[in-house]
Amino acid sequence: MRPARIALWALAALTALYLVLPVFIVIPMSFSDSAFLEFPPQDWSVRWYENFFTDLTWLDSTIASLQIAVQVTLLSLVLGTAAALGMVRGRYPLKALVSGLVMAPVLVPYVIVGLAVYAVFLKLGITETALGFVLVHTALAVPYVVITVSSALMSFDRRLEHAAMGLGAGPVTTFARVTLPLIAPSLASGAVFAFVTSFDEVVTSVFLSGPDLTTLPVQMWSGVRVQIDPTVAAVSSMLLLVTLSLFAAAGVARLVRRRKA
Amino acid sequence: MNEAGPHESGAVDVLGVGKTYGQAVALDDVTLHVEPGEFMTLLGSSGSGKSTLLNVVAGFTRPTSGSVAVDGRDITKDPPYKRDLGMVFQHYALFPHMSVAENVAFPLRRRRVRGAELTKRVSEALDVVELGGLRDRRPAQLSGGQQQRVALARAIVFRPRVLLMDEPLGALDKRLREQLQLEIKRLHTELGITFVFVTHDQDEALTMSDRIALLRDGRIVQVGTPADLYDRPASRYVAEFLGESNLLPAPKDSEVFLVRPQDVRLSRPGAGLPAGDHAHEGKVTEVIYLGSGLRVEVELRTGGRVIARTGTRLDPVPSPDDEVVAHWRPQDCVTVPA
Amino acid sequence: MTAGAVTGRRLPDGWGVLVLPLVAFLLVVFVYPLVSMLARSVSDPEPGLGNYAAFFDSPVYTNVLVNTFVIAGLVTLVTLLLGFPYAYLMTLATPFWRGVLMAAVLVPFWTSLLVRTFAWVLILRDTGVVNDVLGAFGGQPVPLLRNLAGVLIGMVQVMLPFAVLPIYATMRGIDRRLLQAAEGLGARPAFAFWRVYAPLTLPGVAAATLLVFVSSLGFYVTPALLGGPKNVMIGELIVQQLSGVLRWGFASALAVILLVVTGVLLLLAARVVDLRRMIGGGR
Repeated sequence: MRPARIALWALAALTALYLVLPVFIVIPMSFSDSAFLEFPPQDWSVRWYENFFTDLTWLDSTIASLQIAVQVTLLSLVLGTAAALGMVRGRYPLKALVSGLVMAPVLVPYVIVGLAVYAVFLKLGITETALGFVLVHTALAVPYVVITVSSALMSFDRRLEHAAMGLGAGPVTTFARVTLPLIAPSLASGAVFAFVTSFDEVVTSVFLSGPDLTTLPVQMWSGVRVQIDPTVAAVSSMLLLVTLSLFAAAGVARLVRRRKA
Repeated sequence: MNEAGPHESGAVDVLGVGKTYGQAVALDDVTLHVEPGEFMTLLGSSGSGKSTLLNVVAGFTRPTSGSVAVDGRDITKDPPYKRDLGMVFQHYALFPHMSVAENVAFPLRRRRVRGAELTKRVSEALDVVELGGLRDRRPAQLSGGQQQRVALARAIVFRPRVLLMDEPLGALDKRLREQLQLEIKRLHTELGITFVFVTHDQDEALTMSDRIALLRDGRIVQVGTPADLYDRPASRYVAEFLGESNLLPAPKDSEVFLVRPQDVRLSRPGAGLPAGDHAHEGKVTEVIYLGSGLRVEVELRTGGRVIARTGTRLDPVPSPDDEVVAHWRPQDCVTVPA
Repeated sequence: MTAGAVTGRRLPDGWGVLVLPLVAFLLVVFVYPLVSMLARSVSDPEPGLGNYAAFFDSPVYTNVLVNTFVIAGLVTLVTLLLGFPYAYLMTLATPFWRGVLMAAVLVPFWTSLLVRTFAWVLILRDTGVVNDVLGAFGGQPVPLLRNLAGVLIGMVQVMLPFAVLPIYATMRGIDRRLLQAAEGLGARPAFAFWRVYAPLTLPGVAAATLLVFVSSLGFYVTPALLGGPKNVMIGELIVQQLSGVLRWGFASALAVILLVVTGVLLLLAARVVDLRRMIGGGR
């Protein structure tokens, strides 16, 4: 190998370690018995996990986050898929403006969205309610659904729909039996994006949270912001585990599909 | 339409159909009658309007003016799925997420055919196209020719009275295309239903059709049997579109003489010619060996060129710069409006 | 000829109406709040441009803006310096190693931002992993948290995937035979790389630069947790104005300033880069 190639590999390896390694250090630390979470832990314990599962504020915020994320996923799928169909296939005035509007929520810094929405929601009395969170998170998540679904629709072969209609299927049957199954993978990845966007969202949630309703990221935020709550390490480790198992599942699914084909 | 036995066939009537996209005219006042059981080919180069016309009949394109009727019933305003016409698409348009059998069952399910009847008719349709063994395959696992047959089976399984085909063989290589041309022909004879077939390939049109409608710039320029169009073209355009042709100046400016290359004979100067033959002296400029014969290009002394297709056994075999006489029987020379 | 290509002042057609629910939703949940925020910035506590004047008159606040740009610029620079060779190596690696390198980018990408930031707090603090290791070798603790170093370490890690993905997508589309052609024509490898290959990566690099810089401007979580009082970015200032002193109008004015800066940059960039593709490339 040329020296330049070796240097390139070394730099990439260090970058990869920098990307991945720090996150995993949380896992051993979460089993430390000490509230200072030293590394490597001197005494091992699961007390921070126990703390999570026995503390109602942690459990409630987790459940709230899950509930909100599910609702956000459903709402963004419906709004986003419909809009993608309209944007790819439809004719309507002010096309460029509409595309800009739909993409804007990802481009505007979340702090601004949070501040703007907080003021309005405060007047409406829907801060600290699931409704408030669902509305904001959906605005942030829906562009991802529109992007994934509309790119699937753009590469979709409309002749298949013509074929279905020529063979006697009405518009609704054609959509349900031909279009929907074929764009389903994109809907699924849009759904994952939407779910994760909501479940991870900190900034706007910090504005909307309060004693009545707090999401998991906000709970973690307050556990790091002022003084470190070691429970955050346990929560982080569990979230990491979920992420990694989803990754592994996706990898296995890909392998299986490749074998089949 | 569910009873077994020979299928019913339908007449198609296109009446004064026009289609414009903004300023562009895709179809201009097209009128065409297709007899029940007929194999009608819509022939034309790309942009001639042949596919637009088929899509108007199928219901995917709404005409700007005029009407379409099947067996006398006006279907102009019916959506495609209510027209009950079979359709084979250019690139087959098989549903990639369904098996072969599911693809073929699709139109039957839409017509509420269920259970044993469904299974039986899917098998029958697959047997007709000789694909019985591949029913559980996905379209992606089939060859181009097999996909084409599935598309055919899917289009005929519900026994439509009319089958529309949009360049169904365009994506296949030459040998496979010729094989499937014969199969489609056989299918037409077996089913006895009306076929409306779109192609840009004149040989395909001549081989397969009962009648051909030649389109140009959104208009039908001639309708007739293959022999009508080949031997008695209604215009210079038709003559040149169908096969190779020699066009020679005629006494009247508004007309030209048409002689097909296979009707042109070549003789040595001074040799005796059959009585009454039209003869022109000239010089050979090019000889191409085609396997089945020779293609000889002759520059006439009076100006202009004539192409002759002759057998390879010609004695002597002409070569460039030979002086020859090109001649043909008067009945092989047709007067065509210029 | 397709209906979708025809635009004009026509009413929406059958498919077109499907965009209406989302448009209505975003107008209510997204646009209206932003408009009323704009209104509040010139009306609270009193009508006029007082909030903006207060911002530009005080070096404390303008420094925050400068600081924000400096940090965003540094983050962009470091991200590109690490991301470009990384993406290039991905195009050279065998499928297996390419998969490993891609996974290394995607794992943090899909990991909760808070988890990652929290990990950095544990690692960089004075009693953290890095300083423990240094201490074990007899070194003095190095302050890595609550300062610029901390902010950069944290933000670059967050932004790297957003640089690697678009650059890699562009590089994958480049025909490597062009390099061979250039070398065959007498160019030395390094020359061929910089004069033939690198210019072709520009669309990806431009997208990455824009995405990283604009996103960095609006960062809140990472600088708030890893930065110190000297590294306050405008996002954090906005929250401070609200949570501490309830200066709604002033916070709104700050948000408007950040919004305008972001918007102008995006509009300028939209002439060069396809924004939709950019977002599609990253999460």
